[in-house]
Amino acid sequence: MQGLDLYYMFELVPVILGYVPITIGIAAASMVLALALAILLAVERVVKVPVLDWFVVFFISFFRGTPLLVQLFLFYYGLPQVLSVLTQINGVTAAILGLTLHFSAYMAESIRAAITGVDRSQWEAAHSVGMTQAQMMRRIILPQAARVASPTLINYFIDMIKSTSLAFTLGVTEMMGAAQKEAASSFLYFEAFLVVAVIYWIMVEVLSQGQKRLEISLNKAYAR
Amino acid sequence: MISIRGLTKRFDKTTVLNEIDLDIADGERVVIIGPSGTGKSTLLRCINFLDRPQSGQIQIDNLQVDAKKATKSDILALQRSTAFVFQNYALFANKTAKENIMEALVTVQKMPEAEAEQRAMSVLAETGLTDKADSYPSALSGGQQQRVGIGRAMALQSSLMLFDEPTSALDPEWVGEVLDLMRRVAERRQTMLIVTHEMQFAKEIADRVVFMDEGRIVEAAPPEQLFGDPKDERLQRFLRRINQ
Repeated sequence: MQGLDLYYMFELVPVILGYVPITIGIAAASMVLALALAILLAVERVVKVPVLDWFVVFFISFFRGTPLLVQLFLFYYGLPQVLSVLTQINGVTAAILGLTLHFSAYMAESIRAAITGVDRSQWEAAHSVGMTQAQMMRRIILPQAARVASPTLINYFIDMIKSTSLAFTLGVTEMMGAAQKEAASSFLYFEAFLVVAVIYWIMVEVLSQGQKRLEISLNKAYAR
Repeated sequence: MISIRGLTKRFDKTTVLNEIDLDIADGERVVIIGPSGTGKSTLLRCINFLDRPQSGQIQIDNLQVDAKKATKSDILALQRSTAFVFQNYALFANKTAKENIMEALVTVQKMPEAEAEQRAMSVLAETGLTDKADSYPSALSGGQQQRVGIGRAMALQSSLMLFDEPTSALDPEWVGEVLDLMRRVAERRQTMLIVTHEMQFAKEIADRVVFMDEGRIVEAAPPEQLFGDPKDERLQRFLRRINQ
């Protein structure tokens, strides 16, 4: 076994760090879109709109039931062959689309669970004072569900950041793609992938600390 | 003026309310008594459409709702002209005492925030909870929570206040303060329909007591008459049992 080329690794750090914004950008955009979609899906699952409910169940089942990588390939390589409008789709867009749909399915389930966790009597109280379904959701139920679901949703965000590495298979040069390119030219695969692994790890640790703090402050809010 | 005609509610094949007719005059305080499981709470819940009745008419002032044909906006209008006090308080856990009272004023009645806050504070003063305005429900005792629940209903200033066993879930030590508050509400000649097991309280504040059994109104009379000279054999039996 040869020693690690520490000097090479040291030089590589700023190169990979330069791609952090792309990784974070893809993850953040996907998270915002996935969260919005997940809330809609979750509310629908609770309210159960006829016919639409069937589609939502199907959607969630498909995106939870198939691997993310397969979904990404389907969007980037597969769909453009069927739908000509999608021939222009670039890797970043396809990655954001795939991550959004995939994670929204998971997040919808945890938001749904959090919504049904809110004491039913509060739904009745909201109706009894004459609130509409939408007012009740927005003002009473969702804020409480958000508090319950937040730790899980941050877990999904962490998972999402790591999953952005799959975007390199769609030709996107984000952190993983950059490491791959560097490794291919230097042949120092171990060093390159170790550097990118450590940078992912540090990003996730920072987020986990934030998650802990959030949980503490959420528990203080109006907990029993 | 509240007028209920032929109100019927079935759960699966069990008929819980069987063609209920009931009129309540403005400012009248009506107490419903009767054995458990005879549809007292269901009657209240159907009037407020928390449970949807299968048939019957409900009229509150100028609003007429036919259960068979009730649309979403009918139901909303009905819920907006009534106020409901729940057995388990059902306060909004993410809102303070003051916010619980303000919520419907702002979102439903579209009252300006400052005005809603003013009304909430005056209601809190009446309920004796001014110092708890900024407390969340989880920090309040059962009695305090129920007083906020009554306050939330009072603030709506609706045509009819419905009380569904408001003291049944309370520890005995808190029952008195809740009944006191209800007495104060009654003194203002607020139209009230109350389901309770507090017979003494019923005698005190009711203009009329309604005895229900097996989904029907069996007897209705002023308290002196209903308790003093019960006509129906089922009512006599019920009163004997609770007086033991």
